[in-house]
Amino acid sequence: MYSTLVMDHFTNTRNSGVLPDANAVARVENPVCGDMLELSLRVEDQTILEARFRAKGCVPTIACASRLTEMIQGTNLTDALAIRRESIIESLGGIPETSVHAAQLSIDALHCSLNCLSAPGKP
Amino acid sequence: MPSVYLDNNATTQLLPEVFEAMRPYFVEKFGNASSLYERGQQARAAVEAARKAVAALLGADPAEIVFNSGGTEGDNQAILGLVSAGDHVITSVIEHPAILNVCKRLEADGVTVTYLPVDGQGQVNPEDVRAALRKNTKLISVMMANNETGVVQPLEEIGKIAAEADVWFHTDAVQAAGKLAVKVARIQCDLLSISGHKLNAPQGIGALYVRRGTPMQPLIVGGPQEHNRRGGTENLPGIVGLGKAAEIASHWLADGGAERMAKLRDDFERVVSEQLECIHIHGLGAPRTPNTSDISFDGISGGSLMVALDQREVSVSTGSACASGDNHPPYVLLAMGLKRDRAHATVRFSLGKQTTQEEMDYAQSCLFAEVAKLRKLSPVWSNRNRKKKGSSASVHD
Repeated sequence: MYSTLVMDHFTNTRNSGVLPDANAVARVENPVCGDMLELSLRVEDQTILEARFRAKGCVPTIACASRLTEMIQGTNLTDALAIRRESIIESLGGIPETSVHAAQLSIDALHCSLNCLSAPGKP
Repeated sequence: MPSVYLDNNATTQLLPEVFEAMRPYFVEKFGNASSLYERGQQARAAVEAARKAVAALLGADPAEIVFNSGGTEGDNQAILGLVSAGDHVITSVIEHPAILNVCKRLEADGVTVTYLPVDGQGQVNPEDVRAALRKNTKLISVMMANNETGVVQPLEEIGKIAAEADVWFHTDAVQAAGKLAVKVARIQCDLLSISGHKLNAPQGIGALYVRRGTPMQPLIVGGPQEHNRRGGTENLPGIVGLGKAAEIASHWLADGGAERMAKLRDDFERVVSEQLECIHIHGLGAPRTPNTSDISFDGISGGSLMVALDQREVSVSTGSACASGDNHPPYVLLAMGLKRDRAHATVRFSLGKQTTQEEMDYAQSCLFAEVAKLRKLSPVWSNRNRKKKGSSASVHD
């Protein structure tokens, strides 16, 4: 059903939790299935230094969020915003077609959090 | 600990005794039950012995049992074999798709259908059945026990209403047969469907009880098999398997098997309620099949919990998994008034005849660990805990 990488990210989540000194935080929800993703980032000098997530949702939602945090840490904002849901899906070895919304939720959380980016140290 | 299978409402394991009973009919005793020579008559005798066993399980006459391919065919047959354009059908919103989708198709062909609601416990109100009766009501079809929640419907009352109104009455007893004492005379039903693989017989075999005198047209038209009620050569090994499984189920019920199973389930629910806060057992206030426990866990997704338990070799089910390609929560739970969030957070545990205390203990420990892990990850659960410091109340719906 799920790729080895999806299962690995689901079972051994990377960067789960909350960043106490985050300056970009967003929580997004898929109204259809109720999946929820919270992303907190610490951004300095146009670079995402740290990323953490918490999620309530299906296996792909958790796996995509976990993978996204790996992809964006240490990345400048321009490159981070250029990440598409297909990149997350591909890097996980694919997800079921019916679960594409899970990758979109991660992208939405990233864009939403960067939209409300505040100055470092001023969440 | 070997793998623990707690999805017996989906399908059950073929019992070894059932397999042994079937084995000769694949190879040595492979006759066609319609053939008049010895090999065929041997097959005929096996079919009729199985018919007796199934009839005994249901308290029916053997001549009233029609073998078929399973629950879906039985449900389809009961409706399509009786109902035609201009008729009215009464059913409920929580029926199996084998009923609901046939009704939807018939609506396009000039049949009117009333879909009765259920209450918060998942039960149909018999008075709603009475109120829905019309002059042209041809059939009432209400399931005996729900696959999702195990909630048992008040069929004796509904059967009485149907008899008084002189309306045909069908029940889908797929989830009840072999778990509850199902007696057609008590229910006063005219048609009743069962499925082999829900009671430790193989997949692909089932039976429809058809009360003598019910004017049912065959769904599958062919030869004169099953007294002209179902064409096609009989599935001999499957029928033998269903007969053996029915015989075992009859003994199991007489021997207090259902009570032992209910105790295992009830103990499981008690411990889960004690150990985990904010869980909700659906249909707890209604009579249920002894094997089913449908529980929602606030703050997490049932689909994720199912996969996490599967990683530990505990098989459970959820009707709302993205994994199934359907992001919609189970319609049965929504019909009971559950909010979508809670319905999405639901997992069904369904025990089997072979389920042991040791297996339930293992499933419990895995459940506690995985719920804790998913709740720790959940932003919803963390916020709830901040708002409700120290809350440990367990709520049962």
